[in-house]
Amino acid sequence: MMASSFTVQSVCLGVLALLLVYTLWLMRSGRLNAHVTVRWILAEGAALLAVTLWQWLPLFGFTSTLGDRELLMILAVVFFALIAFLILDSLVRISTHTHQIKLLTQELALLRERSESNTDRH
Amino acid sequence: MKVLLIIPAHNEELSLPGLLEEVRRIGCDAVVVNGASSDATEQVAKAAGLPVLSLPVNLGIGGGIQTGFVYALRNGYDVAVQVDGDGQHDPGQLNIIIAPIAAGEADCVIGSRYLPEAPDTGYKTPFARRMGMYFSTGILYLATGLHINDTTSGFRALNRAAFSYFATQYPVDHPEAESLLLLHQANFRILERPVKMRCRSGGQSLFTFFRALLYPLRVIVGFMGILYKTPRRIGT
Repeated sequence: MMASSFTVQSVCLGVLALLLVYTLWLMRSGRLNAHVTVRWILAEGAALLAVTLWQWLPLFGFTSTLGDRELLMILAVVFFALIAFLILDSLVRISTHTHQIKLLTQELALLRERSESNTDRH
Repeated sequence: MKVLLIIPAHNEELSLPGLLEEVRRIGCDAVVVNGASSDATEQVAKAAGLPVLSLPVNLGIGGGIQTGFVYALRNGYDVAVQVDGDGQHDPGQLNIIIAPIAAGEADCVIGSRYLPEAPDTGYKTPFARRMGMYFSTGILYLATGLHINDTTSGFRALNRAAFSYFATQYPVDHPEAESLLLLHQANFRILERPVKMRCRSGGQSLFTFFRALLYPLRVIVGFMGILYKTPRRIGT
């Protein structure tokens, strides 16, 4: 029982660690806005902590008599990792589009000013 | 030496006329960056005969100033000077912050209220802003070893190399401290010069109590992003 529990915990920690590395890579490569990334690092850190201490957490302790604590943890971690990955992917797109909209907005203002000054000259 | 004043303004119809009159008196080129104001900021600036960059959406103070840097770059200016649209900065003190750039001593000069040798005793800093400033000064010192007394001053002059760099990358929210970190990382020389500042002559400050509470978190996050990120632009 203990060996099985340890294996499940290691796999879950591995999944979360991969997710953390992926998030850091997104930030380092400039795909993800820094302000967004830090919130995710905090969320993933909290998930890592929860999995590390899962045996002492009341949420998992509640099901201990049913003997399916490992199953609950696997489901929780897989669900978290999947949702986190999907949201991160969306945030990468949002970060890119935000930057592109900023550039377009600036360009529009500059072109409008140039056009108005040309009109004034004529 | 061609000098351009960049005046970011968001709902500053009350403060702007006095400031623009001072700008007209010193006879310096200026551009007003209107951050999607809902009042008559744009009309006031146009009535003063100045070029106006009207952003259709508000990009924040950072996005506005960066637009000014792009304008300065494309129009061949040698020095760009940021002057807040709320009338806090006196354009008459322009020479104080331009002189070190003209002498080749610095790439960026900050007009400072808090230099120990010449503090601006007439300027009353609101408590929340003062705390925010101590915080950003401390974190900038920890990150770079650079001791800047007035990290939140928006009265700055930059030479062409420095504002060309900012035309490609500039922080969006509360950019003052983060921009100094960026300059330091890119090996630009930063100096402070003592200036006097005034209280805003009209309108409302964007630095509210709630924003002041979030300011330390935003600065930490912004610094982490800059320190950790490889130099590559989002979306490229």
